[in-house]
Amino acid sequence: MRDTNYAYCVARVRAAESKMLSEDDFSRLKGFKNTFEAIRFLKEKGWTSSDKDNIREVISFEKENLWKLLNESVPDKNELGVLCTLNDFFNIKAAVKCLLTDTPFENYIMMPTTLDVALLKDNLLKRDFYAAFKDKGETAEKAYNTAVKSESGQSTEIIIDRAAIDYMARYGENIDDKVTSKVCSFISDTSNIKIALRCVLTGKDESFINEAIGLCRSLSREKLVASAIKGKDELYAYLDTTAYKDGAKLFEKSFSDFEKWCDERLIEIASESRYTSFSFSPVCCYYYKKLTEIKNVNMILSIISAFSESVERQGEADV
Amino acid sequence: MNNLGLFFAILGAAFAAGFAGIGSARGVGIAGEAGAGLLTEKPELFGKVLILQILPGTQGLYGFIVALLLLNRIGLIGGTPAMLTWSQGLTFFAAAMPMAIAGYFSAVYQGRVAASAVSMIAKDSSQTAKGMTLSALVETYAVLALLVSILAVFNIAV
Repeated sequence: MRDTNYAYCVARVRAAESKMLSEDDFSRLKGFKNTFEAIRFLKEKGWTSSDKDNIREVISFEKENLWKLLNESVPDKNELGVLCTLNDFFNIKAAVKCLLTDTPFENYIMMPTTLDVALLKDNLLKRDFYAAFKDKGETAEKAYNTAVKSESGQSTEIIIDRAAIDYMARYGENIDDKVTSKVCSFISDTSNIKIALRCVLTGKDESFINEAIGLCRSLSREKLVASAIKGKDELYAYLDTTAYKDGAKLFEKSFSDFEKWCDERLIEIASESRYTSFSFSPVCCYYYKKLTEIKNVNMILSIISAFSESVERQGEADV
Repeated sequence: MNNLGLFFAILGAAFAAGFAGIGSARGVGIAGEAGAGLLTEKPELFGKVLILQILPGTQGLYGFIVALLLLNRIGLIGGTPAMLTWSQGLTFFAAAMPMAIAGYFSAVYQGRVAASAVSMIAKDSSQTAKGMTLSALVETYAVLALLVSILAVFNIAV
Protein backbone atom coordinates (compact mmCIF):
# COMPACT_ATOMS: atom_id res chain seq x y z
CA MET A 1 0.00 0.00 0.00
CA ARG A 2 1.21 3.51 -0.82
CA ASP A 3 2.13 5.55 2.23
CA THR A 4 0.10 8.47 0.85
CA ASN A 5 -3.05 6.40 1.44
CA TYR A 6 -2.69 7.40 5.08
CA ALA A 7 -3.05 11.14 4.30
CA TYR A 8 -6.79 11.21 5.14
CA CYS A 9 -6.47 9.13 8.25
CA VAL A 10 -3.48 10.98 9.71
CA ALA A 11 -5.05 14.42 9.14
CA ARG A 12 -8.27 13.25 10.80
CA VAL A 13 -6.43 11.74 13.72
CA ARG A 14 -4.35 14.91 14.20
CA ALA A 15 -7.53 16.99 14.21
CA ALA A 16 -9.06 14.64 16.78
CA GLU A 17 -5.86 14.84 18.83
CA SER A 18 -6.20 18.62 19.05
CA LYS A 19 -9.59 18.13 20.71
CA MET A 20 -8.18 16.01 23.52
CA LEU A 21 -8.30 17.28 27.07
CA SER A 22 -5.44 19.55 28.12
CA GLU A 23 -3.73 19.61 31.50
CA ASP A 24 -5.87 22.62 32.43
CA ASP A 25 -8.98 20.65 31.56
CA PHE A 26 -7.85 17.82 33.83
CA SER A 27 -7.18 20.30 36.65
CA ARG A 28 -10.69 21.73 36.25
CA LEU A 29 -12.17 18.24 36.07
CA LYS A 30 -10.53 17.32 39.36
CA GLY A 31 -12.14 20.36 40.98
CA PHE A 32 -15.76 19.33 40.39
CA LYS A 33 -17.75 18.34 43.44
CA ASN A 34 -20.11 15.89 41.71
CA THR A 35 -20.16 13.73 38.59
CA PHE A 36 -23.11 15.61 37.08
CA GLU A 37 -21.03 18.81 36.79
CA ALA A 38 -17.97 16.87 35.64
CA ILE A 39 -19.88 15.08 32.88
CA ARG A 40 -21.44 18.38 31.78
CA PHE A 41 -17.92 19.83 31.53
CA LEU A 42 -16.77 16.85 29.47
CA LYS A 43 -19.72 17.37 27.13
CA GLU A 44 -18.69 21.01 26.66
CA LYS A 45 -15.26 19.76 25.69
CA GLY A 46 -16.83 17.63 22.97
CA TRP A 47 -16.36 14.36 24.81
CA THR A 48 -19.78 13.03 24.00
CA SER A 49 -22.67 14.31 21.95
CA SER A 50 -25.15 11.89 23.45
CA ASP A 51 -27.25 12.28 26.56
CA LYS A 52 -25.30 9.76 28.62
CA ASP A 53 -25.29 10.72 32.24
CA ASN A 54 -23.59 7.98 34.18
CA ILE A 55 -19.87 7.35 34.29
CA ARG A 56 -19.93 3.92 32.74
CA GLU A 57 -22.02 5.04 29.80
CA VAL A 58 -19.89 8.14 29.17
CA ILE A 59 -16.71 6.07 29.22
CA SER A 60 -18.00 3.30 26.98
CA PHE A 61 -19.52 5.83 24.57
CA GLU A 62 -16.17 7.59 24.26
CA LYS A 63 -14.41 4.28 23.64
CA GLU A 64 -16.97 3.45 20.95
CA ASN A 65 -16.41 6.86 19.34
CA LEU A 66 -12.67 6.31 19.34
CA TRP A 67 -13.00 2.97 17.64
CA LYS A 68 -15.56 4.35 15.15
CA LEU A 69 -13.18 7.15 14.16
CA LEU A 70 -10.30 4.74 13.61
CA ASN A 71 -12.49 2.34 11.64
CA GLU A 72 -13.68 5.12 9.38
CA SER A 73 -10.20 6.52 8.79
CA VAL A 74 -7.70 3.70 8.43
CA PRO A 75 -7.28 2.53 4.82
CA ASP A 76 -6.54 -1.08 5.78
CA LYS A 77 -8.83 -2.25 8.60
CA ASN A 78 -6.64 -5.31 9.25
CA GLU A 79 -4.01 -3.02 10.71
CA LEU A 80 -6.36 -2.10 13.52
CA GLY A 81 -6.12 -5.71 14.69
CA VAL A 82 -2.91 -4.99 16.57
CA LEU A 83 -4.69 -2.39 18.72
CA CYS A 84 -7.24 -4.93 19.95
CA THR A 85 -4.94 -7.93 20.25
CA LEU A 86 -4.90 -7.77 24.05
CA ASN A 87 -8.69 -7.41 24.15
CA ASP A 88 -9.04 -10.42 21.84
CA PHE A 89 -6.97 -12.56 24.18
CA PHE A 90 -8.85 -11.23 27.18
CA ASN A 91 -12.04 -12.31 25.41
CA ILE A 92 -10.61 -15.80 24.99
CA LYS A 93 -10.01 -15.94 28.75
CA ALA A 94 -13.54 -14.74 29.43
CA ALA A 95 -15.00 -17.20 26.91
CA VAL A 96 -13.18 -20.18 28.40
CA LYS A 97 -14.28 -19.26 31.91
CA CYS A 98 -17.86 -18.67 30.81
CA LEU A 99 -17.97 -22.01 28.97
CA LEU A 100 -16.72 -23.83 32.05
CA THR A 101 -19.16 -22.11 34.37
CA ASP A 102 -22.13 -21.95 31.97
CA THR A 103 -22.24 -18.19 32.28
CA PRO A 104 -23.50 -15.98 29.43
CA PHE A 105 -20.42 -14.66 27.64
CA GLU A 106 -21.95 -11.48 26.18
CA ASN A 107 -21.56 -9.42 29.35
CA TYR A 108 -17.82 -10.02 29.53
CA ILE A 109 -16.77 -9.07 26.01
CA MET A 110 -14.04 -6.47 26.00
CA MET A 111 -14.40 -3.98 23.18
CA PRO A 112 -12.93 -3.13 20.71
CA THR A 113 -12.23 -6.55 19.32
CA THR A 114 -11.56 -8.09 15.94
CA LEU A 115 -13.86 -10.99 16.81
CA ASP A 116 -17.25 -11.31 15.16
CA VAL A 117 -19.36 -10.80 18.27
CA ALA A 118 -22.61 -11.74 16.51
CA LEU A 119 -21.31 -15.22 15.60
CA LEU A 120 -19.25 -15.73 18.74
CA LYS A 121 -22.00 -17.22 20.88
CA ASP A 122 -23.02 -19.88 18.33
CA ASN A 123 -19.44 -20.82 17.56
CA LEU A 124 -18.61 -21.14 21.24
CA LEU A 125 -21.62 -23.34 21.91
CA LYS A 126 -20.39 -25.62 19.12
CA ARG A 127 -16.90 -25.43 20.68
CA ASP A 128 -15.65 -24.27 17.27
CA PHE A 129 -12.79 -22.13 18.55
CA TYR A 130 -11.24 -21.62 15.14
CA ALA A 131 -14.44 -20.08 13.79
CA ALA A 132 -14.89 -18.00 16.93
CA PHE A 133 -11.35 -16.71 17.34
CA LYS A 134 -9.90 -17.08 13.83
CA ASP A 135 -6.06 -16.99 13.98
CA LYS A 136 -6.20 -17.17 17.78
CA GLY A 137 -8.38 -20.30 17.69
CA GLU A 138 -5.51 -22.66 18.48
CA THR A 139 -4.79 -20.78 21.71
CA ALA A 140 -8.46 -20.81 22.68
CA GLU A 141 -8.77 -24.55 22.04
CA LYS A 142 -5.57 -25.34 23.95
CA ALA A 143 -6.66 -23.14 26.87
CA TYR A 144 -10.12 -24.73 26.98
CA ASN A 145 -8.78 -28.30 26.85
CA THR A 146 -6.25 -27.49 29.58
CA ALA A 147 -8.95 -25.96 31.74
CA VAL A 148 -11.20 -29.01 31.29
CA LYS A 149 -8.41 -31.50 32.01
CA SER A 150 -6.51 -29.74 34.79
CA GLU A 151 -9.31 -27.61 36.25
CA SER A 152 -6.58 -25.05 36.91
CA GLY A 153 -7.40 -21.46 36.14
CA GLN A 154 -3.77 -20.44 36.38
CA SER A 155 -2.57 -22.92 33.73
CA THR A 156 -5.26 -21.64 31.39
CA GLU A 157 -4.29 -18.04 32.01
CA ILE A 158 -0.62 -18.76 31.37
CA ILE A 159 -1.42 -20.29 27.99
CA ILE A 160 -3.48 -17.29 26.93
CA ASP A 161 -1.13 -14.64 28.33
CA ARG A 162 1.87 -16.32 26.77
CA ALA A 163 0.10 -16.51 23.40
CA ALA A 164 -0.82 -12.80 23.64
CA ILE A 165 2.78 -11.83 24.39
CA ASP A 166 4.17 -14.00 21.59
CA TYR A 167 1.58 -12.60 19.18
CA MET A 168 2.53 -8.99 19.99
CA ALA A 169 6.26 -9.72 19.80
CA ARG A 170 5.92 -11.44 16.42
CA TYR A 171 3.67 -8.70 15.10
CA GLY A 172 6.24 -6.10 16.15
CA GLU A 173 8.96 -8.05 14.42
CA ASN A 174 7.13 -8.36 11.13
CA ILE A 175 5.55 -4.93 10.74
CA ASP A 176 7.39 -2.36 8.59
CA ASP A 177 6.17 0.63 10.57
CA LYS A 178 8.98 1.41 13.03
CA VAL A 179 6.95 3.15 15.72
CA THR A 180 4.21 0.50 15.76
CA SER A 181 6.92 -2.15 15.93
CA LYS A 182 8.45 -0.40 18.96
CA VAL A 183 5.03 -0.15 20.61
CA CYS A 184 4.43 -3.89 20.14
CA SER A 185 7.89 -4.68 21.50
CA PHE A 186 7.31 -2.48 24.51
CA ILE A 187 3.97 -4.14 25.27
CA SER A 188 5.38 -7.66 24.97
CA ASP A 189 8.52 -6.83 26.97
CA THR A 190 6.71 -5.05 29.82
CA SER A 191 4.17 -7.88 30.01
CA ASN A 192 7.05 -10.32 30.38
CA ILE A 193 8.61 -8.16 33.08
CA LYS A 194 5.31 -8.03 35.00
CA ILE A 195 4.99 -11.82 34.78
CA ALA A 196 8.61 -12.36 35.85
CA LEU A 197 8.24 -10.01 38.83
CA ARG A 198 4.98 -11.63 39.91
CA CYS A 199 6.50 -15.11 39.57
CA VAL A 200 9.39 -14.05 41.80
CA LEU A 201 7.11 -12.46 44.39
CA THR A 202 4.85 -15.51 44.53
CA GLY A 203 7.76 -17.99 44.50
CA LYS A 204 6.94 -19.86 41.29
CA ASP A 205 9.15 -22.74 40.18
CA GLU A 206 11.42 -22.96 37.15
CA SER A 207 9.00 -24.78 34.84
CA PHE A 208 6.21 -22.33 35.60
CA ILE A 209 8.46 -19.32 34.89
CA ASN A 210 9.75 -20.92 31.70
CA GLU A 211 6.20 -21.58 30.54
CA ALA A 212 4.85 -18.15 31.48
CA ILE A 213 7.47 -15.82 30.00
CA GLY A 214 6.98 -15.26 26.31
CA LEU A 215 9.02 -13.91 23.41
CA CYS A 216 11.02 -10.77 24.11
CA ARG A 217 12.22 -8.16 21.61
CA SER A 218 14.54 -5.76 23.41
CA LEU A 219 15.17 -8.05 26.37
CA SER A 220 16.97 -11.37 26.45
CA ARG A 221 14.36 -14.02 27.25
CA GLU A 222 17.04 -16.43 28.48
CA LYS A 223 18.48 -13.87 30.90
CA LEU A 224 15.03 -12.81 32.09
CA VAL A 225 13.99 -16.40 32.78
CA ALA A 226 17.33 -17.30 34.40
CA SER A 227 17.33 -14.26 36.68
CA ALA A 228 13.66 -14.78 37.63
CA ILE A 229 14.47 -18.38 38.60
CA LYS A 230 17.37 -17.21 40.78
CA GLY A 231 15.24 -14.69 42.67
CA LYS A 232 14.18 -11.12 43.21
CA ASP A 233 17.64 -9.54 43.58
CA GLU A 234 19.00 -11.23 40.47
CA LEU A 235 15.93 -10.19 38.50
CA TYR A 236 16.24 -6.54 39.57
CA ALA A 237 19.97 -6.70 38.83
CA TYR A 238 19.25 -7.91 35.32
CA LEU A 239 16.50 -5.37 34.70
CA ASP A 240 18.88 -2.67 35.88
CA THR A 241 20.99 -3.36 32.79
CA THR A 242 18.04 -2.92 30.42
CA ALA A 243 15.96 -0.01 29.12
CA TYR A 244 13.30 -0.92 31.69
CA LYS A 245 15.36 -0.17 34.79
CA ASP A 246 13.32 2.94 35.72
CA GLY A 247 10.10 0.97 35.55
CA ALA A 248 11.50 -1.95 37.53
CA LYS A 249 12.55 0.40 40.33
CA LEU A 250 8.99 1.68 40.52
CA PHE A 251 7.69 -1.88 40.72
CA GLU A 252 9.62 -2.25 43.98
CA LYS A 253 7.56 0.64 45.41
CA SER A 254 4.14 -0.19 44.01
CA PHE A 255 2.57 -1.98 41.10
CA SER A 256 0.36 1.00 40.21
CA ASP A 257 3.45 3.23 39.87
CA PHE A 258 4.89 0.70 37.47
CA GLU A 259 1.62 0.62 35.49
CA LYS A 260 1.66 4.43 35.30
CA TRP A 261 5.26 4.35 34.09
CA CYS A 262 4.30 1.82 31.41
CA ASP A 263 1.42 4.02 30.20
CA GLU A 264 3.62 7.11 30.04
CA ARG A 265 6.48 5.33 28.34
CA LEU A 266 4.12 3.74 25.81
CA ILE A 267 2.77 7.16 24.85
CA GLU A 268 6.32 8.51 24.68
CA ILE A 269 7.27 5.76 22.23
CA ALA A 270 4.09 6.17 20.20
CA SER A 271 4.64 9.95 20.11
CA GLU A 272 7.77 9.40 18.04
CA SER A 273 5.30 9.44 15.15
CA ARG A 274 4.53 13.13 15.65
CA TYR A 275 6.62 14.10 12.60
CA THR A 276 5.06 11.44 10.39
CA SER A 277 2.24 12.24 8.00
CA PHE A 278 2.01 9.04 6.00
CA SER A 279 1.96 5.91 8.12
CA PHE A 280 -0.08 3.88 10.59
CA SER A 281 1.94 5.05 13.59
CA PRO A 282 0.05 8.35 14.21
CA VAL A 283 -3.12 6.23 14.48
CA CYS A 284 -1.45 3.93 16.96
CA CYS A 285 -0.20 6.95 18.90
CA TYR A 286 -3.64 8.58 19.01
CA TYR A 287 -5.27 5.33 20.10
CA TYR A 288 -3.01 4.92 23.13
CA LYS A 289 -3.16 8.63 24.02
CA LYS A 290 -6.95 8.67 23.87
CA LEU A 291 -7.20 5.40 25.76
CA THR A 292 -5.03 6.85 28.52
CA GLU A 293 -7.17 9.98 28.56
CA ILE A 294 -10.31 7.85 28.91
CA LYS A 295 -8.65 5.81 31.67
CA ASN A 296 -7.69 8.99 33.56
CA VAL A 297 -11.14 10.54 33.19
CA ASN A 298 -12.69 7.29 34.40
CA MET A 299 -10.45 7.36 37.45
CA ILE A 300 -11.22 11.01 38.24
CA LEU A 301 -14.97 10.54 37.77
CA SER A 302 -14.92 7.48 40.02
CA ILE A 303 -13.11 9.42 42.74
CA ILE A 304 -15.53 12.36 42.40
CA SER A 305 -18.45 9.94 42.59
CA ALA A 306 -17.07 8.18 45.68
CA PHE A 307 -16.27 11.51 47.33
CA SER A 308 -19.70 13.06 46.65
CA GLU A 309 -21.40 9.88 47.97
CA SER A 310 -19.35 9.98 51.17
CA VAL A 311 -20.19 13.69 51.60
CA GLU A 312 -23.88 12.88 51.13
CA ARG A 313 -23.66 10.05 53.68
CA GLN A 314 -21.84 12.33 56.10
CA GLY A 315 -24.56 14.97 55.59
CA GLU A 316 -27.29 12.43 56.24
CA ALA A 317 -25.47 11.21 59.35
CA ASP A 318 -25.11 14.80 60.61
CA VAL A 319 -28.84 15.38 60.08
CA MET B 1 9.17 9.44 -41.75
CA ASN B 2 8.98 12.90 -43.31
CA ASN B 3 7.04 14.19 -40.33
CA LEU B 4 9.30 12.66 -37.69
CA GLY B 5 10.45 16.12 -36.58
CA LEU B 6 6.89 17.25 -36.08
CA PHE B 7 6.08 14.01 -34.27
CA PHE B 8 8.89 14.55 -31.74
CA ALA B 9 7.88 18.16 -31.18
CA ILE B 10 4.25 17.19 -30.52
CA LEU B 11 5.44 14.34 -28.30
CA GLY B 12 7.38 16.92 -26.27
CA ALA B 13 4.24 19.07 -25.89
CA ALA B 14 2.24 15.99 -24.89
CA PHE B 15 4.83 15.00 -22.28
CA ALA B 16 4.98 18.51 -20.81
CA ALA B 17 1.22 18.75 -20.43
CA GLY B 18 0.74 15.05 -19.63
CA PHE B 19 3.38 14.38 -16.99
CA ALA B 20 3.00 17.73 -15.25
CA GLY B 21 -0.76 17.15 -15.30
CA ILE B 22 -0.47 13.63 -13.84
CA GLY B 23 1.88 14.96 -11.15
CA SER B 24 -0.57 17.71 -10.28
CA ALA B 25 -3.49 15.31 -10.19
CA ARG B 26 -1.55 13.10 -7.75
CA GLY B 27 -0.37 16.03 -5.66
CA VAL B 28 -3.82 17.62 -5.46
CA GLY B 29 -5.23 14.16 -4.68
CA ILE B 30 -2.85 13.55 -1.79
CA ALA B 31 -3.44 17.01 -0.32
CA GLY B 32 -7.18 16.57 -0.90
CA GLU B 33 -7.29 13.28 1.00
CA ALA B 34 -5.56 14.89 3.94
CA GLY B 35 -7.88 17.87 3.64
CA ALA B 36 -10.94 15.64 3.70
CA GLY B 37 -9.63 13.98 6.86
CA LEU B 38 -9.24 17.33 8.56
CA LEU B 39 -12.59 18.68 7.35
CA THR B 40 -14.39 15.65 8.76
CA GLU B 41 -13.36 16.83 12.21
CA LYS B 42 -13.06 20.62 11.63
CA PRO B 43 -15.23 21.75 8.70
CA GLU B 44 -14.61 25.40 9.59
CA LEU B 45 -11.07 25.12 8.17
CA PHE B 46 -12.29 24.62 4.59
CA GLY B 47 -10.76 27.87 3.26
CA LYS B 48 -7.30 27.08 4.59
CA VAL B 49 -7.43 23.50 3.36
CA LEU B 50 -8.53 24.61 -0.10
CA ILE B 51 -5.47 26.84 -0.55
CA LEU B 52 -3.13 24.02 0.46
CA GLN B 53 -4.90 21.61 -1.87
CA ILE B 54 -4.64 24.00 -4.84
CA LEU B 55 -0.87 24.51 -4.53
CA PRO B 56 0.27 21.27 -6.26
CA GLY B 57 -2.14 22.04 -9.11
CA THR B 58 0.06 24.77 -10.60
CA GLN B 59 2.51 22.34 -12.21
CA GLY B 60 -0.28 21.07 -14.46
CA LEU B 61 -0.89 24.65 -15.52
CA TYR B 62 2.81 25.22 -16.24
CA GLY B 63 2.92 22.06 -18.34
CA PHE B 64 -0.11 23.27 -20.25
CA ILE B 65 1.58 26.66 -20.90
CA VAL B 66 4.76 25.00 -22.19
CA ALA B 67 2.70 22.72 -24.42
CA LEU B 68 0.72 25.67 -25.82
CA LEU B 69 3.87 27.72 -26.52
CA LEU B 70 5.56 24.76 -28.15
CA LEU B 71 2.54 23.97 -30.34
CA ASN B 72 2.36 27.66 -31.27
CA ARG B 73 6.07 27.74 -32.17
CA ILE B 74 5.73 24.81 -34.54
CA GLY B 75 2.67 26.43 -36.09
CA LEU B 76 0.26 23.69 -35.13
CA ILE B 77 -2.16 26.09 -33.43
CA GLY B 78 -2.18 28.41 -36.47
CA GLY B 79 -3.11 25.49 -38.69
CA THR B 80 0.09 25.41 -40.76
CA PRO B 81 2.60 23.12 -39.06
CA ALA B 82 6.24 23.87 -39.80
CA MET B 83 8.26 21.27 -41.62
CA LEU B 84 10.71 20.22 -38.95
CA THR B 85 13.75 18.03 -39.36
CA TRP B 86 14.00 15.18 -36.90
CA SER B 87 16.83 16.98 -35.08
CA GLN B 88 14.66 20.10 -34.72
CA GLY B 89 11.82 17.93 -33.48
CA LEU B 90 14.08 16.24 -30.94
CA THR B 91 15.31 19.64 -29.80
CA PHE B 92 11.73 20.73 -29.13
CA PHE B 93 11.17 17.43 -27.34
CA ALA B 94 14.23 18.08 -25.16
CA ALA B 95 13.04 21.63 -24.48
CA ALA B 96 9.78 20.30 -23.06
CA MET B 97 11.48 17.72 -20.83
CA PRO B 98 12.40 20.00 -17.87
CA MET B 99 8.76 20.88 -17.43
CA ALA B 100 7.57 17.29 -17.88
CA ILE B 101 10.02 15.76 -15.40
CA ALA B 102 10.33 18.53 -12.81
CA GLY B 103 6.60 19.21 -13.12
CA TYR B 104 5.67 15.61 -12.32
CA PHE B 105 7.98 15.13 -9.35
CA SER B 106 7.59 18.60 -7.84
CA ALA B 107 3.80 18.27 -7.94
CA VAL B 108 3.85 14.91 -6.16
CA TYR B 109 6.27 16.12 -3.51
CA GLN B 110 4.39 19.37 -3.11
CA GLY B 111 1.26 17.30 -2.54
CA ARG B 112 3.02 15.41 0.23
CA VAL B 113 4.23 18.62 1.86
CA ALA B 114 0.74 20.12 1.54
CA ALA B 115 -0.76 17.00 3.17
CA SER B 116 1.73 17.30 6.01
CA ALA B 117 0.81 20.97 6.32
CA VAL B 118 -2.84 19.93 6.55
CA SER B 119 -1.87 17.63 9.43
CA MET B 120 -0.03 20.54 10.99
CA ILE B 121 -3.00 22.91 10.83
CA ALA B 122 -5.19 20.09 12.12
CA LYS B 123 -3.38 20.51 15.43
CA ASP B 124 -2.94 24.29 15.26
CA SER B 125 -4.74 26.30 12.61
CA SER B 126 -2.63 29.40 13.33
CA GLN B 127 0.25 27.64 11.54
CA THR B 128 -1.44 27.85 8.12
CA ALA B 129 0.94 30.48 6.71
CA LYS B 130 3.96 28.38 7.65
CA GLY B 131 2.41 25.33 6.04
CA MET B 132 1.74 27.28 2.84
CA THR B 133 5.31 28.62 2.78
CA LEU B 134 6.75 25.12 3.16
CA SER B 135 4.56 23.85 0.33
CA ALA B 136 5.30 26.86 -1.87
CA LEU B 137 9.05 26.27 -1.60
CA VAL B 138 8.71 23.04 -3.58
CA GLU B 139 7.11 25.14 -6.33
CA THR B 140 10.44 26.95 -6.91
CA TYR B 141 11.81 24.05 -8.89
CA ALA B 142 8.73 23.78 -11.05
CA VAL B 143 9.05 27.51 -11.83
CA LEU B 144 12.73 27.09 -12.72
CA ALA B 145 11.86 24.19 -15.01
CA LEU B 146 9.10 26.29 -16.58
CA LEU B 147 11.56 29.10 -17.31
CA VAL B 148 14.10 26.73 -18.84
CA SER B 149 11.46 25.09 -21.02
CA ILE B 150 10.04 28.45 -22.17
CA LEU B 151 13.49 29.89 -22.96
CA ALA B 152 14.41 26.75 -24.87
CA VAL B 153 11.15 26.61 -26.82
CA PHE B 154 11.46 30.29 -27.86
CA ASN B 155 15.09 30.02 -28.91
CA ILE B 156 14.96 26.96 -31.14
CA ALA B 157 15.37 28.01 -34.76
CA VAL B 158 12.49 26.79 -36.96
